[in-house]
Amino acid sequence: MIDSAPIHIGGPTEEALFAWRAGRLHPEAADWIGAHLDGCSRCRTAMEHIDAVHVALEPPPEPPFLRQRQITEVRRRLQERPTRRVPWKQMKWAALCGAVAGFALVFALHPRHPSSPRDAVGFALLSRQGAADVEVGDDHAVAEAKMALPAGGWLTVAPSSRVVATWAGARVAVEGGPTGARVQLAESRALLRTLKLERGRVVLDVDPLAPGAVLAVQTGDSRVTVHGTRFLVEATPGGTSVAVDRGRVRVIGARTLDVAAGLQIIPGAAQPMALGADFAARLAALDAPLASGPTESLDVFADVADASVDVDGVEYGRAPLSLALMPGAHLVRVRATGRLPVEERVELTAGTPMLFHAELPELSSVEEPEAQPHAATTTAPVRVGAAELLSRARADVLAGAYDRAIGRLHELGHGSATKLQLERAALLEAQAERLARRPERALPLFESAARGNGPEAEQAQFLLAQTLGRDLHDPVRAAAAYEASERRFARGIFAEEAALRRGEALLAAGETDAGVEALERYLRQYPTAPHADEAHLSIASARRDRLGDCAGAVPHLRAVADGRGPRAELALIGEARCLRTLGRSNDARGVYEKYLRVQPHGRYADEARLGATGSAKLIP
Amino acid sequence: MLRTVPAFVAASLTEGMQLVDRRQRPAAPASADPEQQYAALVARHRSGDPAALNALMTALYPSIYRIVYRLAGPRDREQHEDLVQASLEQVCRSIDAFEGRSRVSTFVFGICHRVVARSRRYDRVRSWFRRDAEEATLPQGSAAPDDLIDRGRAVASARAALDNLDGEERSAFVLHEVEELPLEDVAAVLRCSTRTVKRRLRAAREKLLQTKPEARS
Repeated sequence: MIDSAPIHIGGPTEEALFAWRAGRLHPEAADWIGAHLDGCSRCRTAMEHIDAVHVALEPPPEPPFLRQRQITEVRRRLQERPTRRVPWKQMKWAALCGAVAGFALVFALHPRHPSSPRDAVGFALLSRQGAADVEVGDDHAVAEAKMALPAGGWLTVAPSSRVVATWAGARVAVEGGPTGARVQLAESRALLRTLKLERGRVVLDVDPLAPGAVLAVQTGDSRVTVHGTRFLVEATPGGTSVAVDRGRVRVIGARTLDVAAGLQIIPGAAQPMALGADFAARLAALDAPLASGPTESLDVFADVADASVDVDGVEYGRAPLSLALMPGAHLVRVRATGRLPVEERVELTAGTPMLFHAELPELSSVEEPEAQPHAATTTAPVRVGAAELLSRARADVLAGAYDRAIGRLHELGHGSATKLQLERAALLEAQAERLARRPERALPLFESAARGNGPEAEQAQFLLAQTLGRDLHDPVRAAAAYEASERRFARGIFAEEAALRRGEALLAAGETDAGVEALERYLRQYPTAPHADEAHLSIASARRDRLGDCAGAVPHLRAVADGRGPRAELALIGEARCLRTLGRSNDARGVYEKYLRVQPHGRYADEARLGATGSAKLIP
Repeated sequence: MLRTVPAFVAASLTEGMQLVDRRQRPAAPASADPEQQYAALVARHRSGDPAALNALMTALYPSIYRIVYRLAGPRDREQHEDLVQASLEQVCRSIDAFEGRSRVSTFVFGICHRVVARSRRYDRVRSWFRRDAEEATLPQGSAAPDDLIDRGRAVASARAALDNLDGEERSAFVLHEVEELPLEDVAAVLRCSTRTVKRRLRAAREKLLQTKPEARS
């Protein structure tokens, strides 16, 4: 049976390694290979590669509604073109000749993919600001970038929220406004598209339509049809408003009238009137750039309300939001009133949705200090001047005028200021340099500020490590800086986070053993810390994937799995997979059952159902 | 501070994580053995139950979605979805011809294998005409950034190794090693002898492990 060559002399064969991984071996043979793997780095490397092959064969998650949409489409195609039995015996020669000719024509002249019905067109969601839901039949889901809403689907947008989508050559914004919006893709075929607006406002920018094609917005009392234009329709209990800033639309209601570019019609008005500023602004807001080609989703959350998000200099609105962007590097910037803005370059990879939590620190750390009675020598008027300068510099940083802020802080350095004020000025200047994308200039400032002993020095040391790790991508130096922070300020306010980040930096630097040890020490020291789940998952991941130590990963996964939220969900499924790898099938089944109790409709519910019944052809 | 889920955690624990609150209701309570459920639905369909075909498609869909990806490899999302739909349609068109001599899932895998193989032929022909255009529109593929984490590299290297397999080798490997079909079933799906399946499996394993030179040296 086992007929392939051994990995090395005296070692298991390739087939045996594959069979061991799949759990197909006799227990004695499996034990022998398990023991061999513990001591043989060559076979372990081969096993890691086999693991990677299995990971590479994992399909992406099934997009919401895809199943329902494709089943509907298949049913339609079956009805349109029922399967017929061909009398092959009677017409085999004709069929053969036809097939040859068909092959030649289809393959050579018009190569394309198998059946690809493009008649039906749906909403392709580009971005969501605030809260919105999509529903198709009985299925509901949060509207996310890259989601496709098929014909018949509903989109509900919460008050003050907004969803932008493309609709076969048209760009559509559904705006919640004060009351929220609800629309349905009543008809959505290439030649006939109807959007049913139950309430709220839609703004459409429609490319010139093909001859015979119709696009309409239907409200309770009107039907608005277009032929290549940009317009807005708002349905309120009082009636329907229509505004146009390009092209012309026809409004068919109690009476029929045309609304031309630059005009609007509102409930109660007899004739169209000049376009108002409010509607004009809503129409212009549709002019945001569009990603072309394949995209991936980036979801941005912030720890404060009303944080505005811009990506690559384009303002996308307020968090939380979900965007479809081209894969590659993007500069994400999140800002909120009274908070220090954050800015980071992120690498968006196709196939891996990215999730960001932006934590915007309050400016308390760079807050202008009150004059300290024990502070060093200055005269009262100068102290007021320094305070004023610091305050203005802080306002400049908040407003994004980093160079002006740095100029003010230099000015402060030339005058007389307290030592504390100078330390805080150095910190603020370093932060401004970071935000101005000059992290290398921030380093000496942080290093200098970190030489002291007070809270400012501690913060400077922590920010130094963060700059090295996040801005300069140097995890080795970042780990050393976090370690210095931990050592020097063992009772400081950043002690807990420095301990965690040190472990993460070590893992990022490839020092797996040291990283795991640091994170485990962190957990012993701060077992109930807010970042404990993060640490548990990092350790579990490193143990399982880098050290091949599933047994060591299980307790960490279990610690998180008992909680709630997406991390707990991941930990539960990770625990089940580890138990399967360890050959503890019954335990794995128990964990899958627990998953189904906690997350009956979770992302991994299909896998859990298979795992719980023990009939699994599961991913490892 | 902008904080991301650490990359290596995301890569393994959240790989392919869909950041969507999926509150879809399950289509139907899963029976203990999916194979029994499939067979029961096929029987209901044959007895004229108009709802059975829908239920069968719903039940088979996850397997088809998964196996098509594994057989065809990473393509862009639209291509994958097209192949899934083509396979699903073909399953529905052929279900009346299912004679019950194999398991329903084996029958379905056979159809998926043939749909994917046909698509490979299309791709091959198309590549003669449009090689340049294809290369320009490939998804991320092997253009891995320098700072890609180790695990990402390993997976990228595994993807490259899988791409080196020819279609039949890949199908044999996926069906036997990943889907854990017995050799006889794999032979039935691929319409060849078990000896041929073994030969393809051996070739696939060798190609997959030889791409990691340190594993063989």
